[in-house]
Amino acid sequence: MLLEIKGLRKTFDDGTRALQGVDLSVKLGEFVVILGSSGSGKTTLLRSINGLVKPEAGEVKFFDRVISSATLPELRKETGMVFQDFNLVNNLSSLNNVLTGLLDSSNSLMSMLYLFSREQKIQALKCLEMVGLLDKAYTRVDKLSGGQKQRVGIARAIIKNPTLLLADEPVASLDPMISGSIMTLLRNIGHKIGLTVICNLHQVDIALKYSDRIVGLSGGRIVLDAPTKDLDEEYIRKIYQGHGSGLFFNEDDTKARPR
Amino acid sequence: MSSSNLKFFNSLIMAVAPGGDNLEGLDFQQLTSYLSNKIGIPVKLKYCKDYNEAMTMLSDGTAQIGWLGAYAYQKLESDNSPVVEFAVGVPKGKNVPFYRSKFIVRSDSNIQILEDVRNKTIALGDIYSTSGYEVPRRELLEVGINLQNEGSFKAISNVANHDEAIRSVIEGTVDVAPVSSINLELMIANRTINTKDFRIIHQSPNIPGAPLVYLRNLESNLKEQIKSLVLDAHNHIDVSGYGGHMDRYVDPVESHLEYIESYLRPQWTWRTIIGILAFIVIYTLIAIDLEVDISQLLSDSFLYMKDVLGRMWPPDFSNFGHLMRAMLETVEIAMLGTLLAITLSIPIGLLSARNIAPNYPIYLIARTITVFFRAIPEFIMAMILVIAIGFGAMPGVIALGFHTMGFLAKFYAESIEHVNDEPMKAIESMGASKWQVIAFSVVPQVIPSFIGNNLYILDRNIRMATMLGIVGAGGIGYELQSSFRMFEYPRVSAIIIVIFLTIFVIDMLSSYIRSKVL
Repeated sequence: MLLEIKGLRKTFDDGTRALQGVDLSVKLGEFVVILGSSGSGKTTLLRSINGLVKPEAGEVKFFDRVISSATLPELRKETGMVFQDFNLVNNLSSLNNVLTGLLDSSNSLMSMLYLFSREQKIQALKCLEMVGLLDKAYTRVDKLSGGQKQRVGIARAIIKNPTLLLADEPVASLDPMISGSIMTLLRNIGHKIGLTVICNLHQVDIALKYSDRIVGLSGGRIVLDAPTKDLDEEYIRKIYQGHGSGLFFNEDDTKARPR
Repeated sequence: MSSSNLKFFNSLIMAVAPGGDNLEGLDFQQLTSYLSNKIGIPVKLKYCKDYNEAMTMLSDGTAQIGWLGAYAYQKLESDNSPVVEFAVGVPKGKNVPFYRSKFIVRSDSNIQILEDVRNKTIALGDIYSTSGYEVPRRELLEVGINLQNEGSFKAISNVANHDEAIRSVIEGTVDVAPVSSINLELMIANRTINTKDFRIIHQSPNIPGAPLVYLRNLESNLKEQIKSLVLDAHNHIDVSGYGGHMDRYVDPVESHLEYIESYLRPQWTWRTIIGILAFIVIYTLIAIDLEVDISQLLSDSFLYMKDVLGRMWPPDFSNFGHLMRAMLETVEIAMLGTLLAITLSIPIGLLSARNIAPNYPIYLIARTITVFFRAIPEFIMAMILVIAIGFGAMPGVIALGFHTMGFLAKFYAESIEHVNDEPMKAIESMGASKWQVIAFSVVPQVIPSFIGNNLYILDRNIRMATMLGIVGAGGIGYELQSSFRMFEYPRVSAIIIVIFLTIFVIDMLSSYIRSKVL
């Protein structure tokens, strides 16, 4: 088991109970979608995996090792993260943005001068090629379209060859058509380099199209956990009845289709 | 899958996916006969009707060698591929095994950019075609056109290969077609088409050339033999392949690395390096020209400095009350001067902001005013004013006010020019007048920098006001001047300490205000 989460709880200072006892295990190579509306706790769940949020109870095990402040740096070397708003450094080129993914293993003096080794740059260019942006390597990212920015975000997340990719609503800021191509890219890269992907989404149809498994979250609790092939929209709709939803079911909301 | 040992093959089959419609565009004849001779068993060519057929032949082992087009190969790779790439052709006259997908239209077409192809008729290749379908799909997606959505086009014409797509465009049966640069260049070279007949409206990034593949589970000796024969073939025969004559075949892994390396650039461009060098040279020349000599500064001057400082100690605070009175006058001059500067610079600042100024002449006049008053030091201005209106605080106030007006107006104009104009447009679209737009979208955005700049100018004016007294414009500067003249160095040091403490207090005060307001 790559990841084992047991009894995870988190209440924020303002009293928001984001997670109320979450158990979840993820196998190596799985593409898991965590489905939930905003406020369901899915972002907190994702962030407690790589220690951006400190849970008050419960534990996260990565490769059978409990995550603590001592083991966290090791885990972070093994995880990449993709964000809803891309979180790129706008004034830097795509290549330099991707290279920031290697800062933890770079010589700190050299990287202060923006100097990277030839191997690191080739690695970054390969990642850009993988996301189809080799031609934009020296373009400033603020000159790129939303979809292209997210591709740079993905390239940055995969450059250190992570085992686990955490994607927090990677397509929420993109139009449905581009969303489809980003999800396809995440999936293909996952297959190609044997990456485990945990992806937060609120669009049911996208979740159904691209995931191996769907974990439904509502009010900080898991209400659904099943292989995607056993699920359909009707079933998910039924599960979420009475949970107040906020999920997007309608095809019209998200027209993305797989290739 | 059939056995992979050479003993069990009495012939090898090479499955070729379609590229163009004449065999010259996709010619493996010489290569296969060369292989037949060297290996000692026939190597037969099988031209397939589409990519799918070629893939199937390789998947079930009917064919052992193949050419699939780059995309079809990727397809196989992702699904735990039964084949591996072993060679890729470098076209004649090129150094790299790459090509592009180009969107072409008739020369008389009104299509100018990729966005224009929406609702037009388009010719598309097989969905497994790289440059005829997959790459164009991605390129179109970038401009918001979904190839899979039939509503994006007036009609989609499915063509068998690139040559047919090119002909369809030139004959006018379709408006636009994405085609492989290899076929396009070949047809131009053959004079089948004329460059005047069509226009290229868009081209894709480089696409890696389609590799030759063989079955992964072929016996390794045989694989090694085929690979080394193909990579060496150009030394013995004229090699050809997709796109006609080839210069040579190269190892795809090596050529891919070379391709990636071709994108390497130094992190520091020559421009940056020249800039840094120019900076060093200019400052060295300045230092030489000004005869800056640090060693001299450290020897003689240091001794004189010590002497002067020694005479200043201890400070003489005997007339403390009088000093504080003069200091207060200085602060008052500065405050009044700053108020004058702010009042004057609000209108001038607005008019010298490019995005607010009603027209260019007014903008230019306002800019000239700000530059003019910045250019005259307040010292000079105060000297002239002292002559005109006599000793006292007034010349100081006016000199400070006008001089710093030049600065403030420039600062205001700059922050106004950098405001986000989207809210401006929104308020404008609601029907607000120009001044209402300024009041509701520009002012709130520039308030923080407005306050910050004013506090800076106040701070600066207090420091400058102390000096203005020297020319007779009132305040503590006058005291400083007269003490100096009388060689009362202990008094001079007392005045300096008073000025320092005042500025220190003002600085604390302004950072407090800043933290509360900004």
